[in-house]
Amino acid sequence: MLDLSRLSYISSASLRILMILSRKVKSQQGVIAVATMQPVVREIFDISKFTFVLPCFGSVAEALSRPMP
Amino acid sequence: MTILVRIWGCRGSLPVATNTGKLRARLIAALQAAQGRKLASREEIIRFMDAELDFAVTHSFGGNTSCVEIESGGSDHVACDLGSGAREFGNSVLAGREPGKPGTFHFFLSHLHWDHIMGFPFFAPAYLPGNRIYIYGCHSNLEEGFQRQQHPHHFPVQLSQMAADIRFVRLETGVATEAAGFRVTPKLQQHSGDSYGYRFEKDGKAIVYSTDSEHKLEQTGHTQTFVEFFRDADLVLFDAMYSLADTVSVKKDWGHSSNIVGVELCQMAGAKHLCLFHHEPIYGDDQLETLWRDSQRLEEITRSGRPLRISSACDGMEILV
Ligand SMILES: [Zn+2]
Ligand SMILES: [Zn+2]
Repeated sequence: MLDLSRLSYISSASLRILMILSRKVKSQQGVIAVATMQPVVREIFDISKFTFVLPCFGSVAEALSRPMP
Repeated sequence: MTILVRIWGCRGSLPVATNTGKLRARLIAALQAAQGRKLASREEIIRFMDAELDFAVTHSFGGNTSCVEIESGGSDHVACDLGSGAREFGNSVLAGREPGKPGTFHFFLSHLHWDHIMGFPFFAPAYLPGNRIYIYGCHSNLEEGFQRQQHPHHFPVQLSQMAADIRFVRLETGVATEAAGFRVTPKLQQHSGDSYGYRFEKDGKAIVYSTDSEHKLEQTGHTQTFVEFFRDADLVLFDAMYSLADTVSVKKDWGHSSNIVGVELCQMAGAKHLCLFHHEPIYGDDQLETLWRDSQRLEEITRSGRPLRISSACDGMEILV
């Protein structure tokens, strides 16, 4: 679980690294999710369509309350 | 001096056409919006269309594959790629010229994938004696690619039977050449079988044509070379075929890029105008409009210096540089 509350901007390079990380974790039956994005970061996730590939949550508590695949 | 750039084809991979169903859907949307309105004159209708109808109802991004003309200001014609858009380009040149008067054409080829050469057999000036056509590229098999496309298995007229004087000119990445008053510098790009971008410079203006190119911006060396290539460009035509998520997952290593990377590279390079290009053939006009608006929004929220203008290529679009 990545708490992004202190992140004010995210570049394509960082998103790519996040994807590589997510794939690594998946191969070990884990999952990476992100939570508490600031509005700008949330918009970048929307525009890049990363919201479709990484589970995104409003808060860490909400994320942890969901069953993870 | 102003340079005019004209898009004859902006679609990636495969030409697309509209159909009756899509046309009727647009008509229905327009007529519904016009209900109760008194649109008595042509001018009133145009005003209503421009002010009140959605962009995707009144516009089409077009369906021809890559072909972009850069007016030289002289009598020679300059263009990038020979996708299906080259057919209309050739016809328009012939329509505007007095019959029998020969012309000279300079085409800069990104690569030999079919969508970038398929227009040549339909490029009418190639059939007329007296015309001179230079095809520039960095691939060693440049001429062979064109010969194969017109092998009798695929097309009735062979390349050698075309009446124009057709010459292939091999360029080297990073080494500038002069053509029709432009200084043109090719750059190697990441794409299956390699592709090349071109930077055109003239009278202090710079136009970059960079399609079919994949970027991995966490590789800083790679990024820096493209930032230099795009540096202070007045216009960058950029492969924005897929979403960033696609280019790093299912379409990784497919050799294309995204709107996000286009915005970032142009911002880093201080470019003035980004034109999204090589549209995914699956996307309809509404999806392409969303992609364009999203890119504008991204530029707005990530802007640190001078604003970057963002447009999305449509067939027939003219850009003044
Ligand atoms: Zn292509
Ligand atoms: Zn290609």
